[in-house]
Amino acid sequence: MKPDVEFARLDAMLDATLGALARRARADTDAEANLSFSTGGDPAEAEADVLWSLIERTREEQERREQPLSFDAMGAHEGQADGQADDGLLARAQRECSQLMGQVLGTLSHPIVVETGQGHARIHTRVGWTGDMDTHLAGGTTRAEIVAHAAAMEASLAASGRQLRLLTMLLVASSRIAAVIATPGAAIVALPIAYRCVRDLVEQWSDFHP
Amino acid sequence: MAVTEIKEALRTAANTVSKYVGDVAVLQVETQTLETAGGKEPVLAARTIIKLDGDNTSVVPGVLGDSGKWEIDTVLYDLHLQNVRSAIDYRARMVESMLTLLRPISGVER
Repeated sequence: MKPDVEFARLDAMLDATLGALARRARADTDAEANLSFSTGGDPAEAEADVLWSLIERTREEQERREQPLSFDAMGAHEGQADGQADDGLLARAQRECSQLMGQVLGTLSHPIVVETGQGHARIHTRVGWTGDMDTHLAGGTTRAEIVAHAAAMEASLAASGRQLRLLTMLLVASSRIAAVIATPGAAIVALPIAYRCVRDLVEQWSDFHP
Repeated sequence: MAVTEIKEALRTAANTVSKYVGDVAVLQVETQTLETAGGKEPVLAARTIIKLDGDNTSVVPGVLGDSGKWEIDTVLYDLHLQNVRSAIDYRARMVESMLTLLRPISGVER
């Protein structure tokens, strides 16, 4: 399946969720004008609701850092239990996001190596991150081995392409969420929230692409 | 600490994209044959170089037949052609993603 086709549904899901999040933010801003926001069972809006609660926690956290230390700032406020749960989600998302980015960037900057054949590899291909490709072919290699090698190559390149595509989605989502947060440093704090969003959507999407 | 790590990861991503953009001027695909028994050096069988400005150079394997005509080694040629297609597809996907990445990353505070 072509990557663009493969990811079209995931792109649409992400777009719907981020659109719902933007509407959720507008509803919050226009609360005085009595605009309402209802999750109404729509998965995108339900996900946006979760993301919105994380954004609110992030904002509170940023405000707390700017204020002098106080009893209230230490978390002794109404809804503390929910807040702590959100803090846990954020911390986990920050940790996982950081790991994922390190992993993907590390993978991309190393060449892809594919070897096909028994014993000493009969076909060996090295693909640099820009697509430069170098193949060594031993004498006596059969057509069947070449076909198998081509299939293995395709699978490896597709896997690498998917990783980069997910990283792209993550950063695009992050920039849109940062616009919703709209505070200094939003680009940084939006990333773990975007990670959580993309991760959840990929899980849902995987049900359609096992 | 996690925020610092994320900031660092974003900087690394920005540097990675910048480096990538600098490296994409030429796409080179090489296919070489290797005689495993004698421990000899690989011999270049086919090479394709595609430049960003559209220049395209290909060296394809061939042998001079008994009739005096050049014959292409189809097994090698097919493999090389497949590699060139894969490399072009992969490059296109990478460039598309990198260009998309440039926008959000450029908004990161330094």
